[in-house]
Amino acid sequence: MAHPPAQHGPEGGAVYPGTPRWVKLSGIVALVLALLVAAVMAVAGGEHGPGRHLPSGGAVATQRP
Amino acid sequence: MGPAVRKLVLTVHLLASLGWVGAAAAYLVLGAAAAAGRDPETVRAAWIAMELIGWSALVPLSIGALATGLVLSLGTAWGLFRHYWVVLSLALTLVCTGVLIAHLPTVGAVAAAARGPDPAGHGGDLFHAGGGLLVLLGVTVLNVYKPRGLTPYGWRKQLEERARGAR
Repeated sequence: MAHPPAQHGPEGGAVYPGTPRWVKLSGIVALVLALLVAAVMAVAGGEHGPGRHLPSGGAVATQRP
Repeated sequence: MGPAVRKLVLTVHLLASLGWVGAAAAYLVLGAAAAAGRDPETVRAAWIAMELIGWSALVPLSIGALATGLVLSLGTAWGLFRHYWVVLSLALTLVCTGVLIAHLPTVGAVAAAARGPDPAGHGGDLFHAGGGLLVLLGVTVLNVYKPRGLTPYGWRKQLEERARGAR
């Protein structure tokens, strides 16, 4: 891991240059993806667990008598 | 952190991170094979192997990548909260590790059920594996390119260090 380069603001001043555009874009993409996942889960009826994979609706044979 | 220790930790970090990507790719292939569901034996074998890969490879590699990433950040001038790419990498790694550990009991339950007489109806595991792999590839790109951008905290720290250096 190389050392970080020194980063300067406008004319090397003490004013914070603001959040970079790539961070804002990544945030928007992450938000859209999170909403998409939430929508897909809502459409699927909120089922999120073994029951989604098991035809009998959740009876899991993890314990033997 | 001295250069020798830094290189050692970096080597372990790269091995764990890229090993995690490789294990996630293998898991995705198994998830796809289970989703295809053509042959009951393949579906059964895929779910059992997914559980094994999950606990024996994905979890140790994810924790190794997370731990060595934290050591590298805190032990070098990059810091943990100074650069946006480090903060994002940490956040995404934490989310991936958390989702992985939370999801594996489900994989175990389906693997146990797939050992039964009719394993074909269990479907696959494309969503978690595909999503996780995409996020890991994103983290890898972030770590290689290290896009510029200081957080407000990093900016303040840099100003303080510059002022200290000028004295």
